Amino acid sequence: MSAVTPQPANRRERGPLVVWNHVPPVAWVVLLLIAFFGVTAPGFFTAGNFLNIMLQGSVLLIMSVAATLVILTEGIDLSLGSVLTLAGVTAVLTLQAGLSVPAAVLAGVLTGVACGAATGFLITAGKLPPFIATLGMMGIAAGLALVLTRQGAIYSDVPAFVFLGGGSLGVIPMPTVIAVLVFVFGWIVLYQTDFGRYIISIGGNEMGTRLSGVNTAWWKFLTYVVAGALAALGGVIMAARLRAADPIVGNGWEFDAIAAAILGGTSFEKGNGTLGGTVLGVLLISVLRNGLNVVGVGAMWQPALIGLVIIAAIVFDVMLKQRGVIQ
Amino acid sequence: MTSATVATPRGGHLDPRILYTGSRLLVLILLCVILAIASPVFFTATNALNVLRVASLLVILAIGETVVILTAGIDLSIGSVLTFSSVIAALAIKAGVPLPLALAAGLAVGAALGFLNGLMVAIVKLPAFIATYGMMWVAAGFAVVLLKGQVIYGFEDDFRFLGVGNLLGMPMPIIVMVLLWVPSYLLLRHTTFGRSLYAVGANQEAARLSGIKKDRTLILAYTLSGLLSAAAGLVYVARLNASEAGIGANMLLPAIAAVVIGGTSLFGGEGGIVGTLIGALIMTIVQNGMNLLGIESVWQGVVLGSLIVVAVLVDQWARKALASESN
Repeated sequence: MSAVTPQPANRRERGPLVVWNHVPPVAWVVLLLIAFFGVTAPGFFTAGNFLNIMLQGSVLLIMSVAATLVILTEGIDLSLGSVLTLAGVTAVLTLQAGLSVPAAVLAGVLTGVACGAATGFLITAGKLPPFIATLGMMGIAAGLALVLTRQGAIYSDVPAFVFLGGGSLGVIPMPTVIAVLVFVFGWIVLYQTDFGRYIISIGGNEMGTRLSGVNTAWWKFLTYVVAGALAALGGVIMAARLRAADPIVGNGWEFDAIAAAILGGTSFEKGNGTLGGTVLGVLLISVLRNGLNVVGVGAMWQPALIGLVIIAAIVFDVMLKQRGVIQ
Repeated sequence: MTSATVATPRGGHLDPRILYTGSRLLVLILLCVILAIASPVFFTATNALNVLRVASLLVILAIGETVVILTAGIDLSIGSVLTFSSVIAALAIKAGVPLPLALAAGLAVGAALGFLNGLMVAIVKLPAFIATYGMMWVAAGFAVVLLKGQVIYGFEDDFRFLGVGNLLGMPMPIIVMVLLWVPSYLLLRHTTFGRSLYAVGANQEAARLSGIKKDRTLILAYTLSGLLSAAAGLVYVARLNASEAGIGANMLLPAIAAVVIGGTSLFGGEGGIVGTLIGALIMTIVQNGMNLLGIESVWQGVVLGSLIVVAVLVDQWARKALASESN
């Protein structure tokens, strides 16, 4: 099934090129984009705008960590965006019911845990292909969000809740603080725990992992639960930032998250990939989005252009890898 | 990749596969009976024709999806391709292009987008759900750009005839559906291309080794899916008398549900468009029944998502049972 292209053995041994080959190509693209927007848009190279990029990229980073973990197991989660939406809705509803902010955050995150557990169960026990189980969940979660909100935005401006999205620690926006914590959490899980080792080894060779005595079904299940919880956390932050839960706010977020993971070098075939690469992927998408704004490209053009760039980048990336030009 | 290969049942007096298709027909009949009892208007000629007319759009879309799923792929872009190609046709008509040319342009654009999907899957070797998911966002994005956020409405009667006209007392959408279904059936059952679709879906490597042009088969399958999506889009716009960027957004889940309920295996190589026709009828009757019973349309996402998941679960269970019985 997987097309294994033999890598030219001496490709890496060409003097100074060795160093350059180890810089992921996406890093160059990010630098190029920053240079381009820096030259063309006067407002781009300002501290305020960089804070803006960080703020905008924060929820995407949280989502992308989730997408990366799932893709590493050779899975996919198309429901991340809808789970984000639904979690924001349950969090705001909890606040509207008069409960405390921690309870609202917990309600939101537990919503994601429930969604992730449902898809994880369908994939591991029901043996459904991940894209179909998560596509089903996408419909269910998005539908529930519409039902619960009666198809309109619901609001809450409890100060402690709004702080989660709009406040800042020093100069760093709260969403960024949370995103960094999530990244550290993801990094520790992936590289310092058995769970992480199993995620990577399931993606590399699921059958082999199972035969060596690992309960692969359980760890895969857990991966979808964690992904659901992270997407939900993203949804809570989003709702806090907007002071509202909108029933379509998460539409398409899973595409950006999956794209960030893939652009960052996570491969959907061999369990390869790093969280560091995913950060670069998130940067690429965030800089692109922000730059187009600053340059003054209309909001109408943005989804089309960004989608096109993402797909083109993925196609180039995969083709170059197959030809052994890059690793 | 991993799925247990389904043993083809041979011999015996009654082919279990006929029993399997028959069981869907039974579900369809049962649904009709239940609804006829629950709602007095269900069994009227007007409603029956209405159900068929609504179903015909879904059937056209689902034929294309079936062809792709038979190759063990998936086309998540059908809704967006429907939108984009119908926008092209609508713009052409409004610009004064002769009707046949405008329709041909719409169909050609749909086929071209499908062709691109096919290239990404067959040549670049992206997983189908990534390639077509990217296409979904890009095509939807460009539809918005082309329409500049507006709605095109008010078409001439000759175009509208395609959606609302009658020929010998039969609504045009039904006629178009039949005109597309019959050749598709013959194509799948009685041509080399049809047989190679099944072969590629059942086992890509074996198909390639036995001399089937795998890449060409895959590209053709996705192109066909794009073409059929465009055809559905033209009929839909003619019926709505309007072209807007959101028309295809809610088409994907029902189409996949129709295919899956129709018994085409998501692992490829098993099923066909007889089942898809029954599946689309079941889907339409479920939606029609929900309307008649006064269930709010906001619940549709929840119902559709659950239906897809349950249908695949039942399908896999039945296949396993059939396989063990015939051994």
